[in-house]
Amino acid sequence: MYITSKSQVKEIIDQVSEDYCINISKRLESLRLLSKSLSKLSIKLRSNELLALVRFINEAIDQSEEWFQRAQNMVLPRGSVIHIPSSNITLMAIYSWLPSYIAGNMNYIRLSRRIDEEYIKNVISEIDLAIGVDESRRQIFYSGKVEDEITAITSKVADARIIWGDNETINMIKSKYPTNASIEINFKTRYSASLIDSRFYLNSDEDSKERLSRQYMNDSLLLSFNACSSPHYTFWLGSDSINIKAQKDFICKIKKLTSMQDIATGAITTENIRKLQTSAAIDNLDDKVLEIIRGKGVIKVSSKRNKRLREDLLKGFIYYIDAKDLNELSNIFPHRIQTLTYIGIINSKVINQFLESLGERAPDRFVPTGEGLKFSLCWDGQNFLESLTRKVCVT
Amino acid sequence: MEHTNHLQAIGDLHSWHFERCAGFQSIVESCGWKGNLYKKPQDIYLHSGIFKEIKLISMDVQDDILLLKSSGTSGTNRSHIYTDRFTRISQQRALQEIITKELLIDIKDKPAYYVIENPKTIQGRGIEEVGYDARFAAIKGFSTFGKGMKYLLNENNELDLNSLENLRNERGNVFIFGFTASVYLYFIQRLISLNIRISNNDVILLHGGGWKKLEKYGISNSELKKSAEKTIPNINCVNYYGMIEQTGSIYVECKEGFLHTNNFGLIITRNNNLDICKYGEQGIVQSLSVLPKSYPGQSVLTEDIGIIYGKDDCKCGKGGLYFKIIGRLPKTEIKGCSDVYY
Repeated sequence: MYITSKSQVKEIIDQVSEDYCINISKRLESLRLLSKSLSKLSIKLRSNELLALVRFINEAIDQSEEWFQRAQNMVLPRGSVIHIPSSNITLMAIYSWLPSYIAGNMNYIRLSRRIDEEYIKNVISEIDLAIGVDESRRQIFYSGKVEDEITAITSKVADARIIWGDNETINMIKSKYPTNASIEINFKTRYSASLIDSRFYLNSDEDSKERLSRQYMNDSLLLSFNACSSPHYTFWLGSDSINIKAQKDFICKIKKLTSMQDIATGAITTENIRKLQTSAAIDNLDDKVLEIIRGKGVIKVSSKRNKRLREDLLKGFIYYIDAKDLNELSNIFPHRIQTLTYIGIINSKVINQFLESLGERAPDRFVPTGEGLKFSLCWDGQNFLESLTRKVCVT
Repeated sequence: MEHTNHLQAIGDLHSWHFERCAGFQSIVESCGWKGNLYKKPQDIYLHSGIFKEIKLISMDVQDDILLLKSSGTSGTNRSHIYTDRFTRISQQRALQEIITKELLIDIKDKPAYYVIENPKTIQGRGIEEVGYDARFAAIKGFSTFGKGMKYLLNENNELDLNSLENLRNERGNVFIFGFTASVYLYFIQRLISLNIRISNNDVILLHGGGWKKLEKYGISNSELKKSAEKTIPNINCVNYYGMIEQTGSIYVECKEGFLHTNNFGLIITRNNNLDICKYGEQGIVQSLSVLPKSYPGQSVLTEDIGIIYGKDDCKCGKGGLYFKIIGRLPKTEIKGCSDVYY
């Protein structure tokens, strides 16, 4: 249900019982209905974002069935959950809500002022239809002028709170809206990386190269790199000469894609160049920019150097790191990488050996390029179904 | 008008600032642009926002500084521009050459000067020790071309009836300056609603900036002109494009409705990948000025979108590149994990 007034939320808090909760099979059934209706809506609105959401819903249904079966009904909802999603992905609010709904919780979801209100209202209407009137009163999406007050009220009553943001945002929300929630999930600042097998890339045909560049662009949010799972570092595997050749071709493809006339996204370019120039003027840079792609400076670093990569520079730059092979790469692989996307590494044995060699530095996700932003029930190493339910322990 | 002269002068300025301004030097070196100082001076630029982030100054003796600050309407930070006496004089001279040539104002027989501004909004914004606010600097800068400055708005942003009466009783020419949104909302619209006509003298109305405010009213430059002509029949309503980083070298609109480059300033438009656009293509506006010597403001990448239509063949007969500013880059596209609270 979409609400815009403080009184509506107060009424709901007073009247709706947290004990009421339809069972898991009904919840999953309603999601099947939702998947069908959103699929139709995606065609009507010609929305790829909605199609991706439909795919996520279908995958989530399958995974949840399996998970609840394993849990043998010994899990219960947490109660009520407040979600404060970021606005970098238009449907982030829905992605955040879905696992918590599957878990059986009552949810309050704050909608960012920066997202398309009409678009999200369409999606919420479909959710209301799919889950039914009673349940829709437990799934509250809110925005509008009184959102601050609603966030304050719901933060106080919620059993769990999820904040998607960077470190600064999380600290601000925590101090502004105190909560007694027993579970608080904060997705703090993380960085991601891409791994490209240079020889594989160079041996690909032109169409494949273009597709891969486009997928990389998609993961990078059109090279704004403003998502935690965007590839801020790019690792190139191969000999020096092969890497240089692959990088040259790849940069050329990316530049061709970005030079197209789409001035509406030009702010990404100017914002990137502002960050790059501010960093360059303030920080003492050891490395020089190799190329500027859409305002972002590419700094090339050898994996042989025994020096940590500077996270503070990532806002203005993209690191290109050359490595002869995965062994060499594991020496320089940074800490706290969330997602590692890859082009061309297809041998699972090699992948497992590499991830093992990284030990505690292993990323949370290892997915093909193009799936960097693809959401799953397990994110940042966190299984939502486990976090948003409570287990009944019988001794 | 040859661009080579501009570019040569810009190359000289790049080199001047490279030697004197550590921040500019770091940026040029880090961006790999050192080889372009003279070779491709147009390909070296600073984003306008950088003047909000760091102090950029190219002066050895710092006792003659006048600080200019942007009005800060787009965000909380304000640009800080450090001008020395030499830069200020050359900027004032350039402005004089442009205004007298473009608006045909006779500096020896100055028209009466009126400002469409609420005097309270610029109160305390023109103290030399603290720095000049952009609004104050513009009003003061254009005051050179008129005599006896009078404010046309009162402290409540309403028409000041005494000043208006003075304006209607002026016998000679009148020069009015204002920011575009104030000109339309607080002056032209009010005159129309009060059914007041000013027809006794020739009026030059120069206005600039502030289109963002008018966007929500759906008012274009030509609509503003038409409205102005309704109430002041003998008006020459002229728009200009300029920025605090490049005071003096402003671009003035011709009778065909295009802005023109001049001896002091040049415009380049760039696409999303910062490659130079062809004529007729929309692009991010880069403005070059041959004037700033005390700070590296000679080449600024703005957040404005513009189109250059051609060079030396505008129907108005004036030379130079002719262009239009069509808006600002939308901020909404920049979204990240930290954007929760918007």
